[in-house]
Amino acid sequence: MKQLSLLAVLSLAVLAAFCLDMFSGSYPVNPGSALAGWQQRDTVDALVLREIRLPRSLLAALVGACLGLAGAAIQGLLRNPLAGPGLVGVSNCAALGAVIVFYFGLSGLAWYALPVGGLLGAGLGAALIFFLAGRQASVLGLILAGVAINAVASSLISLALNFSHNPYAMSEIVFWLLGSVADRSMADVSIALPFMLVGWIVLAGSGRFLDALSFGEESAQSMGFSIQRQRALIIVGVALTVGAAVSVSGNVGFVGLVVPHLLRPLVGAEPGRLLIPSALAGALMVLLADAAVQLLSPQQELKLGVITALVGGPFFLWLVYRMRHDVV
Amino acid sequence: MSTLTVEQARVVRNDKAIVDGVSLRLAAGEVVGLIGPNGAGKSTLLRAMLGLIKLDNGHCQLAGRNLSRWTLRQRARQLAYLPQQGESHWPLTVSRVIEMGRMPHLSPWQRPGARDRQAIAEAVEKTEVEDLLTRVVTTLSGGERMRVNLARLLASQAPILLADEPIASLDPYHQFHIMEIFSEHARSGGSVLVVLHDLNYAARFCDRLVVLDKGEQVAQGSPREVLQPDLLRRVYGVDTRWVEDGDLSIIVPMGRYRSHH
Repeated sequence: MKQLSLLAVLSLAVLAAFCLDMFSGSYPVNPGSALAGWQQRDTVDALVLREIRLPRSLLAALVGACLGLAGAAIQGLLRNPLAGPGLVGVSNCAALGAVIVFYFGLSGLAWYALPVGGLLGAGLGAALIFFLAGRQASVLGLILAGVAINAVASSLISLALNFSHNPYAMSEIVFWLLGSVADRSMADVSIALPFMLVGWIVLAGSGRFLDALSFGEESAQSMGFSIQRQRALIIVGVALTVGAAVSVSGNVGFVGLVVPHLLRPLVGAEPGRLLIPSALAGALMVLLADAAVQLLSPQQELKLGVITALVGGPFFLWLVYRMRHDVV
Repeated sequence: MSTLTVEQARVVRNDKAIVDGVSLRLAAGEVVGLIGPNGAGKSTLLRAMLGLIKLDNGHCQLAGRNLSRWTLRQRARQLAYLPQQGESHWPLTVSRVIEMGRMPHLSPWQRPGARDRQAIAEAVEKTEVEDLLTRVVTTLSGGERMRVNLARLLASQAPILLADEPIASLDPYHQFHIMEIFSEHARSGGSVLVVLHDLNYAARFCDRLVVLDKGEQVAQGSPREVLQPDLLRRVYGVDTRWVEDGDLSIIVPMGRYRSHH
């Protein structure tokens, strides 16, 4: 019951944040006139709301849900509260894929070039993890593979920036990497959503396994789970959700780290029960952050990834500071 | 009732046989002790009998059927594993930990029903963890944590328990308590295979002992047959003596055996 009320409260909060985000852009939209002209798109208000704000808010919610869910799953898998979805290297690979699209000037050719590049990068990243860490991948093997892949991907991103032909392309890459859901269309939503959906189903289904994993890998196996299969599923799920999220939004950091950590005490620290609330709270956090960037600096818009990092960074410091006492 | 047997089990790691030609049978109603020096292959044999690692040779059968032909879930309803250190990575409540023991019986979104609650209540009673139910498992002492983990296994109602040095780091009260729970489990028709280092607990609580040394099975039989000074000297390199006092007989390690070359 406690779990149900948590889910209900979070769902309502997501709904409220969604509405807030929809109406917090620089152009003041009158809800009445927007809704009146919704079907015909014959008022400016309706047009703005439907063509600009809706895809933006939808993406904010979807990206947040992906990051929150993937963060909870990866923390459960690695049994480490300091792990995040970026740790396994997939998000940097997705970013690299998108950067390559920018670098070769493909982003102007077709609207789908950017997300497809990102998704390909994420897929390649996940394949690399399996190749590097091997089928028997231990927790340490996974983390090391992730660190190595992250390092290679970031160095290639730097290389692309270094050799960028013109300053315009370079600033395009840098701004994209900062993370944002501004100026997206429903096409971006529709290309990312199928991957996200599959990823959500895979990750949401891993709850029991993550619970069993609380007692160690051999215990989980003796409780009826195939470690290799479940671990592979979670990595695929993280690659799908995070890859799709990064492909349409760039790097929106710290959500996957902060959200599960904040919620953990509310679900009795159970890794399985943490999953869906983390997805909702991730959506909530990114929606609020997106509303904040629009309200705080309507002219020179702050990037979404900058504000989540500004909030998440100090939180991470506080987390490390607090854990210091636990360890000693 | 299920029996678990291994025949001619062999496990090789890095070209070295860690378990070599071990055969044993664990029947309903008995507590079998697995003893031997560090590195003798006891834990490896236990893991192989659970199906956690593959045998390089020989086979392992559960109720007459090859272990690999059981699904993992079916297997989990028959075999329960108590690892050396009861790991708990998250601050879960004790009651939820025990409830998670029902996992092999529940489909992914199924809530525990009356039968599950019954099994949990019995496990709680047998392990006497009533007072701990609302506690957080990471704050428990070693002995309490072992009891809670044992409650989780008993809640699964798996007839066969395999325990890897469960009492090695516990105080005497908890050592007795854990071993008594094993005896009780065997009396009610289950079976227990337990890795032990304390020879007196082995003598007192086990129906049968299996001795491993360098991966090979060097003896098998009743505690009194097996725990003989010459065998123990050979296997452990320790001199021992049986001391009798009335109806009590205990085995006392006297010191390291010094060979005269």
